[in-house]
Amino acid sequence: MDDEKTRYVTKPTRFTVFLRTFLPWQLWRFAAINLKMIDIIRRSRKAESTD
Amino acid sequence: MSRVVVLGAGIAGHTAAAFARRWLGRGDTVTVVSPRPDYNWVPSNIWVGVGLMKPAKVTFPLAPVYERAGIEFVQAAARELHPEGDSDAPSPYVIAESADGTRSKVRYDFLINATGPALRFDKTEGLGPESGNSLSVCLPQHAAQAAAALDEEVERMRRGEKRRFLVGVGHGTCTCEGAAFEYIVNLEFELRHRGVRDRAEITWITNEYELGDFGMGGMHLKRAGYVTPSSIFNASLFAERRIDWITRAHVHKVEPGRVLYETLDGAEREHEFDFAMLLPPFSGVGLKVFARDGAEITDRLFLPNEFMRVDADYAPKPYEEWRASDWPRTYQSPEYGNVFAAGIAFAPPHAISIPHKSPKGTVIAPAPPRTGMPSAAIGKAVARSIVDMIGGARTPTHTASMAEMGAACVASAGANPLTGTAASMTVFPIVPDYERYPDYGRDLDRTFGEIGLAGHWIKIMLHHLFLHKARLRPGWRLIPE
Repeated sequence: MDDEKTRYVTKPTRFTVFLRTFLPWQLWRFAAINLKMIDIIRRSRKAESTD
Repeated sequence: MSRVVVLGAGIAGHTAAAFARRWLGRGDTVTVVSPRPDYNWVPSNIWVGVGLMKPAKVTFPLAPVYERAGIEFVQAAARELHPEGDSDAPSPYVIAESADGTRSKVRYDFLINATGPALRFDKTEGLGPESGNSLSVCLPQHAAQAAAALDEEVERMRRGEKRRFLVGVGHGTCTCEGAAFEYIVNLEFELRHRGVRDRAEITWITNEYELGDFGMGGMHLKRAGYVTPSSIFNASLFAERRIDWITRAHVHKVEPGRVLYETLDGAEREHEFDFAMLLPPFSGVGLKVFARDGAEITDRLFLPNEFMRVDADYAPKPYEEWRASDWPRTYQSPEYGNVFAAGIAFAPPHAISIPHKSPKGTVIAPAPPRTGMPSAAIGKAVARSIVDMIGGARTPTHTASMAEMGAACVASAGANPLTGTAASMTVFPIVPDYERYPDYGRDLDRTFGEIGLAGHWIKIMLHHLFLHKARLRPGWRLIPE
């Protein structure tokens, strides 16, 4: 692909890429993301409330 | 005794039927009319499309599930609505046509139109796996076909050939860019996994104005002291994986090995490929509606794109005047109070993304997505309203506006329990509300996204949980939509 095109694109550092599959960190993220999603579901249920 | 009829057994229709059955008394009936014998958990089709799952892992037969639940199942396609009945009897009915051409009347007291989309490969010359020159992952059999074609490409690359892959959308008005995005990053991951990535040139082609729009006008995420648009994250992921991209494109012809497309600046361009997976645009399924005297009144219930009018504000207005309140809340037909639409079948009042036209007048902008979590939430709310109306309520009692609810989405970016990743995202609300959130239209504390292995675990968990729920197995209703 075009090198000039990618030159101006944000890229992750090696540490960021490492964290994406680093098990202890990902176990924590698994819990955190699930909590965020539960929050969205809870708020959406409020939006579905009876008129 | 009341008869509730649900047209369609996709995410919205199946959810509505299951909850209606649960909440109604045994004297009332729930009937599902659907042309396909199987339920398909569509979000996992992308894994079928890269050969990681067989179609049987994302589908199951509906008849035994419905029999166990006490839901009648008519395997047929709905063709006509007669909301006033006919000269013989005033009770409303649907004309359903089975595979052998037999037409039958299915009478209803309340109707939920959850027919989903018609896949309009015909809108682009040469598009599609059946009579065209491109592949698709919209249906399990399409996805299996894509997986077989991918295997052939991998064999060629193992023999030393270089191959060109093109993935994206096959028309300027497509939606579901998110599904095509999942496919391209899974494809790239698979090619790496199979040891042939260095021989593949992969390109994304999209009608989005910027990467990461996904038909939702993109998202803004708080990260490292900045509010950053999703285009930055999408471009970063593509650059990291050496995926090239073409934006603002309307594909108008797919020839063997070549797509022809127009871009927003009016230029005509082409791109060559060996393997193309391009999603089609959608329309409604083309239900016809007839009054009691036999006169056709389809245009009173449906828009020209064949999606059903509901309680939305369909008055044409410029982008600057779009409001969150334009979006429907109860999904009730303004013409007939006992007719509702759920999921993709309802007509959105307008797009979510900013509209764009080329100098030639070609619309090149994504249509709004309304699949997955919102589809199921709408199906459930409509079912509750109908159950309450059967119980005596005069108007719908429950709402599920996409401008008031959020959505959680997990986009697979590579399937492996230790090295896979997925982009986990939440948005709140789905349709931006600039009156409530003036800067970005959404609550930035509840709109987030990140890529990692945890997302892949969640994607796997959701695959099993939602199939468990759809099979109506013990505890199904405790699993959120």
